[in-house]
Amino acid sequence: MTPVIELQQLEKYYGSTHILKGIDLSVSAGQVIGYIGPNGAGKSTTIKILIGLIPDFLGQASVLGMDVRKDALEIKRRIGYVPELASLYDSLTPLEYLQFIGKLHKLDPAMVERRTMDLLRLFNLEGNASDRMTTFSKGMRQKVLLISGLFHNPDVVFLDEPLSGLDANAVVLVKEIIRQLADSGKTIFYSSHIMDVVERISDRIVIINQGQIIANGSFEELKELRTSGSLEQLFTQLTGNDEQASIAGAFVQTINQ
Amino acid sequence: MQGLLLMILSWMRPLFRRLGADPDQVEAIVALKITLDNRRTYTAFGQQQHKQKDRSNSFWLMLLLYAFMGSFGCVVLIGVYNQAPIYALSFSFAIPMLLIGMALISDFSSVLLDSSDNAIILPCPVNGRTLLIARITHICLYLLLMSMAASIASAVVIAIRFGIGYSLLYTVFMLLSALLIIFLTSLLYLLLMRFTSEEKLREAIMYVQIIVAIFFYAGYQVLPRMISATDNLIQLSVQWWHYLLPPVWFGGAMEAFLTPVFDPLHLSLLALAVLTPFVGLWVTVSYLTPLYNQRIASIDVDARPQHSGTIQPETASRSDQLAQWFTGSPLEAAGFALTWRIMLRDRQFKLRAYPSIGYMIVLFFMFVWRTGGSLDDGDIGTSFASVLPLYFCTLLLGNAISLLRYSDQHKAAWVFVSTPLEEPGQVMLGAVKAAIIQLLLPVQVVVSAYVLYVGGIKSLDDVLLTTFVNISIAFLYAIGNGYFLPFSSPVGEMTKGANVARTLVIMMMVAVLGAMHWGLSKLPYGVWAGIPVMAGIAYVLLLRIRNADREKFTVS
Repeated sequence: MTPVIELQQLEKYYGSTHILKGIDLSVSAGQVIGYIGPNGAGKSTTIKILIGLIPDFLGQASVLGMDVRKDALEIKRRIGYVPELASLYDSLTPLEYLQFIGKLHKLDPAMVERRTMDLLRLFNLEGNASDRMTTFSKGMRQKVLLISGLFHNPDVVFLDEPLSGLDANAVVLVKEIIRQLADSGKTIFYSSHIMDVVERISDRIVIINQGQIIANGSFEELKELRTSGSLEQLFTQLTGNDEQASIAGAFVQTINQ
Repeated sequence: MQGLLLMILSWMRPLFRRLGADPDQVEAIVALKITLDNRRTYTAFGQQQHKQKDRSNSFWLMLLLYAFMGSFGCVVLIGVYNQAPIYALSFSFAIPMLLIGMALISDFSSVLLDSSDNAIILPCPVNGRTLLIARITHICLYLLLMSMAASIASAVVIAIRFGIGYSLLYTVFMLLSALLIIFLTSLLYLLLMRFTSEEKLREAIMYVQIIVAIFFYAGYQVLPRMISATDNLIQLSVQWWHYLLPPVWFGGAMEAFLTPVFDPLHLSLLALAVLTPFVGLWVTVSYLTPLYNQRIASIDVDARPQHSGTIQPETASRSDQLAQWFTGSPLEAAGFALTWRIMLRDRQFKLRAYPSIGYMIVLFFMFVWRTGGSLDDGDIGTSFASVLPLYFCTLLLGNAISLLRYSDQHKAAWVFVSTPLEEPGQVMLGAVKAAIIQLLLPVQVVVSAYVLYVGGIKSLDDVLLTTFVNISIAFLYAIGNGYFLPFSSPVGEMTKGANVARTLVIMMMVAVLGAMHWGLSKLPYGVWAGIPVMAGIAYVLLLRIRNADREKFTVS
């Protein structure tokens, strides 16, 4: 079976900064991939390359067997993307916004309207369907973004910090949606800072640091690398920041002076 | 209206397809952009102040405003054409060109610099060409409508005077001039982007926006008066350097047809008018756009904070130094330094406050212009007129002081609640002092210098008295609108109604004080006697703010 996502020696420079230093990764269908790393490690850059937003990179990248450089349009048709830092046209209403995205995907407007209303209802937003999003809270915007990334039934979904701003119930709901999407054969590429969520929903965890993969495997496999108990502890050990306890000590001491 | 635009778009579908774009997607994107345009606030209205509930026609309203502003050009056209046709025609081109250029820079910058297009639209199956065509179509529609609105009055005048054919020709030249403006603006943008960071660019755009607001205001003030003065004004001969100004090319080209005269001069102007827009367009498409897109793409990256190495304490210590000089307690100094810095750095505050400062400057020059040199001669009544500009400072300050309580980041004011703040009055006093020193003082100094220059040293008493009057009025504005902590109320609460009444009362007090000032000026040493009284009043008001009860302060 051909892998759904395949990266070979992926490198990327921004000016003179070397953001990605050779990423090799292969993901098969129906998996939830937790893609984690400290700020500036290159997580968002990897995702942007995979969805065809950044065409100038070195190495090979393919999604659903198609080359990202050559078939970006066909790939975009079959993937969904939920960006971090909710950027959306907030002077539109959710209905207007989703209809616009639907048109760009060339979906049937009647179907889009029906599906949008159903999804908004499931997210408890049907009362706000015709309100402009300027007044929306971060969680409400995030829900609209989730719908816009999923409502065209993509085969691969890229989620960049998808739980930000959501309340506890919505987090449970979205986690369950991710699980069931994966069970139905879709591939989820999930990037986040919230370790215990990643630990729980990922079939495979990929940790990158300074543009390189430093760990790749199921949580059980990763645990064998170190003796620590949780992904969070493992993460801080692997990304070279195990002095957190001593820094915390110095912090408290400074306050007490 | 929107339906009409979409109809025009549907005629262009074959063209889009030919250019390699997807017509459905182009239509969807342009329709979206028009909707967004209609829900945006425009600098030209000076309306940032209060977010109205839901605007949905602001673009059409703005077009009306442009038609109105453009009509000044046609008044000059009517009034001056007989004496100096090229001047009149050039002027009628210059106004719409200026309007479009400034609109492109100020209002449209948010569209041009909008990287959310990249974030939202590009992840969808839209190819880059479609997005580019949609953007260009949108910009062209926008400019087409604006240049039409701004030139419609002049076009009608030409139609009546010379016939509909010439009016159409005029419109064609107008569109050419709009093309030229696009070229010039994108050139300007690229230069700015080349040499400054994105943050600086936004800063530069903010100043352009402020200048636009002041320009509009000055336009309202100056143009009607200029027209009444045009009868004897027009002895203008065309100087050689006038031919360097793009509006003159179009004016000359139009004159060539209207007169008609086709000498080498007019032919070369005509050539410039016809050729430069297309050369500009060609350069824009083939050289500037790729460069431009490259820069836009890198904006997201640039926006990442970079460690600038050393932290610079110089500027910080300057505000602290000033706070030390002008305040009496650490708490007051804290309010002073906070307000001083935010006033200097918060782009939204500047956008709200600076235009009104500009208005005052315009008013001041209007006053000086209209009274001319007749101030220093004659009886005591007219010499008192020279003092009046000093009272303008009050107008300026009232607005700025009432802005001190509002901020887009009013939520940050929780610090005033979470800290054991016993004397919030001191924080408020510090804030008011910062505004007085940063905003009032420079204007007061300049105006005082002018008054001393016109009136001589004997005006010193007037200057001193008005200084204390203005300070007192500043305190009154601060108290009159309710005690406040700096930047603690949401901008949305900036309701006009309640403040207008209070402002009127304060203005009347200004008038009363002015009248008393005039009365005192009739008495020997009367003004000198008034100075300590006024200083005393200012001090009492200062104490009232400083010692105000905690309960009178609210933080929303």
